[in-house]
Amino acid sequence: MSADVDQQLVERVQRGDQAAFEMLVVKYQRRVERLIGRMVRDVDLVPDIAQETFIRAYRALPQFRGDSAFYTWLYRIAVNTAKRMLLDLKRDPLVLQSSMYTGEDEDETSALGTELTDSATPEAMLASKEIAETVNAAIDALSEDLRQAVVLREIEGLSYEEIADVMNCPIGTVRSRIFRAREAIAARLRPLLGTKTGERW
Amino acid sequence: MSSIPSTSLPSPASADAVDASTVAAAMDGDSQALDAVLAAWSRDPSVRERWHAYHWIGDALRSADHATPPARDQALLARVRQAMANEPVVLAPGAASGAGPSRPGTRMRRTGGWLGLAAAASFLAVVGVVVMQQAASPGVEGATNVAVVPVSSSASAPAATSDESAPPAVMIRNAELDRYLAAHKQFATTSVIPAPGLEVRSVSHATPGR
Repeated sequence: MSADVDQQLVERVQRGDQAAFEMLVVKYQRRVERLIGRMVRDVDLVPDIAQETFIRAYRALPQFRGDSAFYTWLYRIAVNTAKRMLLDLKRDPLVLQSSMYTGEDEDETSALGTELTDSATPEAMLASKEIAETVNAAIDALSEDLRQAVVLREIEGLSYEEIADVMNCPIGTVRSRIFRAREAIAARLRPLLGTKTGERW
Repeated sequence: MSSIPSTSLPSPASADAVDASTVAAAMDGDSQALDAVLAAWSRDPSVRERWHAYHWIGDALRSADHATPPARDQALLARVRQAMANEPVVLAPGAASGAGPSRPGTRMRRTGGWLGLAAAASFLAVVGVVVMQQAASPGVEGATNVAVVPVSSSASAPAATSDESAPPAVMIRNAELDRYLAAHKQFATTSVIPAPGLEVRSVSHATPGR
């Protein structure tokens, strides 16, 4: 079902609808940033590389024929973009690999050893932890039906039909439970994050 | 809570034409709902906020790593938006003109420009592998040692894995497997080329992708 959504959005972008591309950005930005974060040491580069990835994807989308899934294609762009940008910045793209094999430059090695990665500053970790706990609390606060529906959808990846089968209820009920679960979790997150509905979007 | 009848419930949102349930349905594949979201996107910030929130929640459910502050996401979207404003609006060519004939196993080459990755990806897709990542040890974050382990001895795997609608493979971290892979170094590469469509999860078992 997700591939279906992507395909529809891609077709809209190819017909000139930029909103459709923004929707794809919002959908995949976290995954893209995470994969970039695993490739580069300097966390400050991640947003720049992510931005460049999406711009490249936007430019290349007219040539995207749907031979692979959109995210597969986007993934390859992200990897390629990260490598190119690292080279452009005259940094070794396999900086960890080289440090492992040469180990000659003591200063560089020790600097790499102390460098924090992947947004792992104490403040960022605390924020992430608090947010994760809020999500978990929100899940726990859901009724059994809502929780099961959203877990089957988001974690097990079942379609609405499959969920209706598992939960022995009509598809309309599945749709209702999933949206109410999502909205209930979102409602708990909004005060924590300080953004009112739509405030900065 | 007892089971709820499937009749529609009062929407928690305002009188907006596109309410929360529509956004939720759109992200799960409802074409009509998707059209409604698209139509409302530029004029209704609550639609954008919900599209973000619901996807963010899905990512956070699948991995604690994704529980990052949404402000980060907002900043990225703003920058991409700004950059897009400087780009000409993209339009696909009308005719399905040729980037050359499509041959089985090389379809990914047509996306152009990433032949090296595409070739590696095609290989990985054809043999139906699951790509394992060695457990990251402290101080070596970012190094992606990719080891390729065939998961299926069936020779008929290529038909399934070259299917573009196949769900992405799941990358699993497993200490036991890492030890196995370390002992079988011939499978290890030191490039950072991962297989396409991989999603990293911190679960202990593989689940088919969404």
